[in-house]
Amino acid sequence: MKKRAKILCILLTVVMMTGLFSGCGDTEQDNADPNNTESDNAESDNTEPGTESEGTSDDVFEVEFWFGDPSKDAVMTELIDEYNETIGKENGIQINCTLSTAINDMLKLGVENGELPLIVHGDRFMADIDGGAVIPFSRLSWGQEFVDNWIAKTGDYGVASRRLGSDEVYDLVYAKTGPALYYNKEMFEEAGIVDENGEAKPPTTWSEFLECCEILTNGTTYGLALPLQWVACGEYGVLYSSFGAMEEYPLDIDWNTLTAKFNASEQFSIIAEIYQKGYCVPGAETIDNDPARSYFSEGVAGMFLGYSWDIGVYTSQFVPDFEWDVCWLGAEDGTDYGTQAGVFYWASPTIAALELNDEEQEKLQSVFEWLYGDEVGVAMTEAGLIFPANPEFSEKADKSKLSSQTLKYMEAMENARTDANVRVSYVYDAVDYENGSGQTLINDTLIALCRGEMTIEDVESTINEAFTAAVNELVESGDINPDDFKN
Amino acid sequence: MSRGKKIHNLQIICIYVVLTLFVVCVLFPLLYAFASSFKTSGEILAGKNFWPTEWHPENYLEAWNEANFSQYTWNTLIYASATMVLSVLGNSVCGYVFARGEFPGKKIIYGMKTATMFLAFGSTTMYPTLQILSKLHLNKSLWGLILVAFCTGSMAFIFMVRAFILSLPREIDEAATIDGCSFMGIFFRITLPLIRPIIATIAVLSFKDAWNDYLFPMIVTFSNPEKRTLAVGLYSMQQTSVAADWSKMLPGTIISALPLIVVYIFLNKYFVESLAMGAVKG
Amino acid sequence: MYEKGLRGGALNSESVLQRPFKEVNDTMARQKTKVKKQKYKKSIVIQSYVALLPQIIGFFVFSIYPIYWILQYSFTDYDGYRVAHFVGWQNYIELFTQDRAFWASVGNTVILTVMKLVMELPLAFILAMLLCSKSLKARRLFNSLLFLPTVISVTAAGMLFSYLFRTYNGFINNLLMDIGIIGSPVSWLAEKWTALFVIALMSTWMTFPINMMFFCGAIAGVPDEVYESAKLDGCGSVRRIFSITLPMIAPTFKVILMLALTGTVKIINEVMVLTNGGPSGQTNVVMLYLYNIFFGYDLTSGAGEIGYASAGSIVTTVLIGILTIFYLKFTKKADELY
Repeated sequence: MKKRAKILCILLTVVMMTGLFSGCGDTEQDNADPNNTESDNAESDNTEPGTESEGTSDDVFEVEFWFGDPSKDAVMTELIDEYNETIGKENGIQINCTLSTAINDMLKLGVENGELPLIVHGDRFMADIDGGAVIPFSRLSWGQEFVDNWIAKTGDYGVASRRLGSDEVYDLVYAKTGPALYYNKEMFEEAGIVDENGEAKPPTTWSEFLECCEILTNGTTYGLALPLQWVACGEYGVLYSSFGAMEEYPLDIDWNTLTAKFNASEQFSIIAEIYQKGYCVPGAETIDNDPARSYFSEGVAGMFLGYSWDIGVYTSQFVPDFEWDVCWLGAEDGTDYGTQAGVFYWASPTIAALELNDEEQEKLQSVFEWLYGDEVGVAMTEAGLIFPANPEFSEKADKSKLSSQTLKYMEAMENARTDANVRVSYVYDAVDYENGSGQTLINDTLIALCRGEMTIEDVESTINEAFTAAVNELVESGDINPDDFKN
Repeated sequence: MSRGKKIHNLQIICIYVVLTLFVVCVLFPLLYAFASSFKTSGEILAGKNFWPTEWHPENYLEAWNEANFSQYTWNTLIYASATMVLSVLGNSVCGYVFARGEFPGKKIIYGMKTATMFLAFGSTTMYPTLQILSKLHLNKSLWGLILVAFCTGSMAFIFMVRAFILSLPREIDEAATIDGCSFMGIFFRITLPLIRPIIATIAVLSFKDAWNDYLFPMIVTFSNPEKRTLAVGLYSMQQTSVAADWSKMLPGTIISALPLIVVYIFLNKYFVESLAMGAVKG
Repeated sequence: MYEKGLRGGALNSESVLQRPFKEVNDTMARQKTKVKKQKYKKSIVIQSYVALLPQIIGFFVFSIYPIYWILQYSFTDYDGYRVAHFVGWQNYIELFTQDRAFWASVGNTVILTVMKLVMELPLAFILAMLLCSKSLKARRLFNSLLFLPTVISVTAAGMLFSYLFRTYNGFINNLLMDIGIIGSPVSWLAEKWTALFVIALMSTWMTFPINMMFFCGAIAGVPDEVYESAKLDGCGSVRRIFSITLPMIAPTFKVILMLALTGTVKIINEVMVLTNGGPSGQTNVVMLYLYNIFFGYDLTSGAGEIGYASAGSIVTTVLIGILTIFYLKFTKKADELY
């Protein structure tokens, strides 16, 4: 028995030692140059490890890039690999990309440890700016010109940054996103919602939408899959209300009437009615975004209220075995007020960039130019991953491989404006709500309305007051200029 | 007498029936999830049958590959084993010292440790502990947690060891001392073999706790997906908007629960009987 | 040896009465201190301290220092990024006057604890009675099977239960609808009370075997003679449980109940995994609420409010302490009954 125990102990020690050495090595490496760690995304199915820091000679300038969008991981990794092999090698630059969904957390730690990347992917919260991780482009010598060039190409969407002041552009609008209503063509045809040719006729206004939900709800299927657990679901009523369903162009935002500007009352009320009358899959508050998507793709629900990026999801991940299409809801009288879209930001410099010498600054600049350049943009567009803000990308892209739904949406996005949306979503983090940000507040009030715990007037006043208070706070602290909210 | 016996037998049959029903109820969630893990996504969503109409074992392969479960299992194995060894070591030594050692301040230290067991800070001290770990540069790796487990020890285990050692006769120790054995020498050579059942219990329980532990490892490995353990991996699978369909989540659940169930089947006496003897009598 | 010395001293003082007391006392005192000094062998002391060193260091670093840290930061407005400023009692005042969500979570914790204990303890007791009192042949087997839930991790159990209690086409809903108890599906995890019920149920599922074993051990400790004499007195089996078994295991039951109480008020994992605070914070429990403030809502949003959360932790600990003290006082009274 003693011998066996001894052997067991030795074995365990060996196991521990190997674990210790592999663990130790990684922790140290983590603080230095992370290589391509695997992302959590199922879509990026085991790509090649990419840039290993093999034999980095002294004159290779290593640029660390933290990228946090799982849906674009695969393409990004490919592009960076190619860059490192070709242009990077020529100019002595190497991009080390870290893919992660916890960018904010990593940045926080990075500020404490003093180990930050040079470039970080956008879509972060204000905390990164407050925490001192990200700097505005203008603080770099080449920054202002770069920003001006980009805005010239993409047109003035009014806001190109997270700070609405004049010079402090922290990030640039790269792609647009917007609302989309997905519908099951076969189910529509079976239920008799067809046009003259017998083709499925999707709803075009919110009241038609309500009717469709009612018709499609029979004993076995439901009209709508509503992911109320997903924090962004409620945005439909306030931001991504619809393309052109708003009363007037809401650039002049008086925050006390925010919900009225976006016609939120009508839309929220319709959603609440759908919930209360059982036209949506039951238990809507416990349904998250992905389960709702699968309810649609499995034919349990006839429609799904989503975003433009769901097109990619339905073409690759939850692929339905019926014909489906995308549409959007507009104003009751058919007036087109122009489309309103949200944005994706792309890449920003961090405070580490200030410590580079002139030669390295030039190299950093070239990396930025590449990141915002045609090669990356066209590749992303062709993969159907973005609806580009820079029209040159969609012009130059080969659209033959894109699905019909993507093309349809891309066309609509070309003229979409992003300013109103961006202004409202900018305020999210400043909203004082105990369970989360302004986004959560909007969703929670929608849930409360659906369950009958609040009236529509309560909802309006709650949202308006919270956002007004947030904006006042921002103005007081000098973070924004109230004039930026006017046209 | 025979009537009494009949009633007695009837009683026993009733008890058996009730117990069996109960066991079925208790094990039901597991069985149901296991059966459903072989269904297709559509069937899970909309079908009403218990057993799958067709069996799809490839769900398991998909979960294994796409969600990185091989890496998680390896991490969890290392983490649980290391915690187990260090926990056994730390707690048994501690229990021995408290049982047999005579030194000034013993009562004070023992009292302090027992007192903190009652101070119910729970998970709220995680943040400062993380701060300490980050100063030691261990905040991104599971080794920090193992260090914490080793250094704090679990009062319940120490208690068990101490109580057990106190029940052992002192004569052997005294004989060994006369033969020239040092204090710690007695521990390693004599006491340790004698308390083998307790050691086994502590080993098994700390292994299980480390395997299933999820809150602290989640915080520590959040930005480091490679280092996650199974429990954390499963939770993050539920949270990320990637693999949120049941035909991958259910196999993942079964995969994460299965190893420990297997261990349990073989070593179950250590799980069960430890409690019957241990803390209650103390 | 001490006794010998005493006898020796007594003899001395008896036989020679003229001996001054002081001398006798001195002798006795010297013998006493001789015995005391021999208690601490230097080598043992050194070895003990060396062996305990990691534990002692760990105790101060990982147990005492975090408490001190939380105490210290509860008086500041630290947010994880910027420098902390001392703000005095502001956090506490805000906690008591403005933060309804905190007190709602305290209420939820109470409700959850009551639900769970009401479900679990009678169940564990009944099972222990069934399982352990008679010598069942298959007892080992039942034991092992019933113990299975303890080896399953919380996240896995959370998956199992959220799968069972799904609103649309979940097993429980289908079963209840088929039987006819409910007409339309119940959103188990979306309503506060049903969600709390499911959380309590899952928590019971995971911990009842342990309590069952505790009861087993306690019941086994009741000597058979008591039962036999009760039978002779004509005591029925039901009455037996209430009049004999329960009172005799009362001390153990006290410990079990206290462990269960203090364990349940600190519950966080089960809630996080099933509802994460539920529909807009309605099923928040205290620890989860504080955790969310410490770490931000999904570990990706910005700074938490560390100072405020620390104040919350202190208040929570004090509350739990008060609960424990009340419990001990109350059970002391109950002890006097028996």
